[in-house]
Amino acid sequence: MNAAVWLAWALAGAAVTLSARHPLYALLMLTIALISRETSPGDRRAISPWLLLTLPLFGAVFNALNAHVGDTVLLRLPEALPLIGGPITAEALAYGAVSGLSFAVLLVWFGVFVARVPARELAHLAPRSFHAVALVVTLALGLAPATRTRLREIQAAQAARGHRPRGVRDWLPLWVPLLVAGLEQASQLAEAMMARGYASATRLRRRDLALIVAGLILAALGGGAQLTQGGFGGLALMCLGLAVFLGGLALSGRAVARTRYRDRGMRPMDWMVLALILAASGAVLFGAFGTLAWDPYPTLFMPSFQLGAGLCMLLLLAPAAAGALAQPAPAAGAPAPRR
Amino acid sequence: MTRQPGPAGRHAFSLIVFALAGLLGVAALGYPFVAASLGQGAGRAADAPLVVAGLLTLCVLGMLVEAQSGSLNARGIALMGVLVALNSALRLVENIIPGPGEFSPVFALIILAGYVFGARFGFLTGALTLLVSAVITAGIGPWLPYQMFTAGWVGMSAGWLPGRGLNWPRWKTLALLAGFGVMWGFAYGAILNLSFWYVLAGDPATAWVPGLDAGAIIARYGGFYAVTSFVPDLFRALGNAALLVVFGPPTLKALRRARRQLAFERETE
Repeated sequence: MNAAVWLAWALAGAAVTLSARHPLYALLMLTIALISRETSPGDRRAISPWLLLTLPLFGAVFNALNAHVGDTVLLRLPEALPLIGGPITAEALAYGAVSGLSFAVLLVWFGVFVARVPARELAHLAPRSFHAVALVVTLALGLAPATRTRLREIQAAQAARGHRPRGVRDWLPLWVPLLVAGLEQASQLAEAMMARGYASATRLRRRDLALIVAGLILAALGGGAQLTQGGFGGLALMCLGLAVFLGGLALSGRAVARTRYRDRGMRPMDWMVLALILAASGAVLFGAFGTLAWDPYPTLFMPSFQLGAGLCMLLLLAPAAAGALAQPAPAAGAPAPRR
Repeated sequence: MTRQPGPAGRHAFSLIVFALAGLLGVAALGYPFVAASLGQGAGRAADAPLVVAGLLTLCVLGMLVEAQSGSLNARGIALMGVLVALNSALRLVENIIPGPGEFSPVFALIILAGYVFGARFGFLTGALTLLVSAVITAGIGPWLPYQMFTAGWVGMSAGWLPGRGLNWPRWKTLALLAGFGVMWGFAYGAILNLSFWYVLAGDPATAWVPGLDAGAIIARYGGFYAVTSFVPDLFRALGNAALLVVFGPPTLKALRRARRQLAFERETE
């Protein structure tokens, strides 16, 4: 799958999870995320079950202590206590637990996205105008594991000399060599990059910069109008601002001459999966099934489940399924999945 | 090594643009406080989080584009790549061995990088550290633009601190940086809380209600902050100060040496 498809998948999943704050849908989304991860050819870092337990628990306790609304009173804390005093209700507990669960699902969902897309391709997603920034990100992503290895080496070397870290100050003999070695590496890297013709920074032209800022200001004005008056004008102004902003970005990207090594591109299958994701999440988000979020106030009740919405969510398995179908016949000479 | 035309000779236009994009972001963040005086109709309040998050993302993108232009030549890219990698590794360590409260080791290096290499470099170091470490620790999410924006401001404002060319005694520099670290330890938490505070339906006494005047909203937010965030943020503030005092002097020395070696020119404000 193209990294852009996975990005769309992650954003669609996050939007659906946030809009359908509901225990059953949250569990369904969690299952989809876990299946998508299991079919991954790459990294399968364990998802911490700790997180999935603690976040709902924390959410439940936090909300129950904060929101004293609901009919089913479980116990009463003395009113004298600031903020947390008052009735503790089952509704508040349930609502907090579901919020915590949704948040945990969100974390898992993005975790799967990061596990499925190699970091290198992630940086390639950046548009051309962000060339220098994307280069820094690629470099840093590549260097971060090396930094950890170096830290371990320095630790071993210092331990061999009898160094035992106890307080904060004892970390200095670890930090200073780490930093100095890193800066030394930066100097060598810069030499190597300049030798390969990376020497100059691209400077933004005034026109592009002016467009970007004009777009920002228009979008801000539109946002202000949208929030104060509502109606159509604010929204239109925001879209106009966004268009001007993106136009400025696109123009500034033209100044950057860059080619891609082994660009995979979007294949027909990628387009199909992308369309499926957009259709399924669009149907859920724009209310084809009404409001899905579960609101337990004022009286707790069993959440209901709509089969149609559930089926739409199941369509988000598409990228994992397409990836699994394409798996048995890897193209000859294709680079091995790497993280 | 020949001197590159560094960020020194930038025209004022870019600076204005940069400041404007930053201020727009701050205005978007401050929206819940001024909503009432803008004549906010309660009906549109539901759109507020989405609009604010979208605007903030645009501001971060605009500032990234501006800051990278000119300041990121080959040396800048290499240096920043290394610094961001170091800092992200620190955040990974923090994820594995969590410190007390909201303590995080990443801010000290962001502040020092901004202090030594200037506001734009500081902004990029802050914003990209949060981005890269989010990718590494699988922490990408809707909160990321807020984190990038705020951490970017930490580095950027560090570039505006005085005393760089003044040959200050060491204690004075350290005291300044430590105080700055304490200030941002609290401010970072206060700003990031804004990303969800007025979405969260909590206690009516500390929740955001559209239509209140700015003073009342600040009081409510103050209450919310004191109850939920003051103690955890205290650890971040004190941690920043401790790291800057203990690790500051050798780190400053190494960074200044790198600046000379890579023939970096500080941008002049």
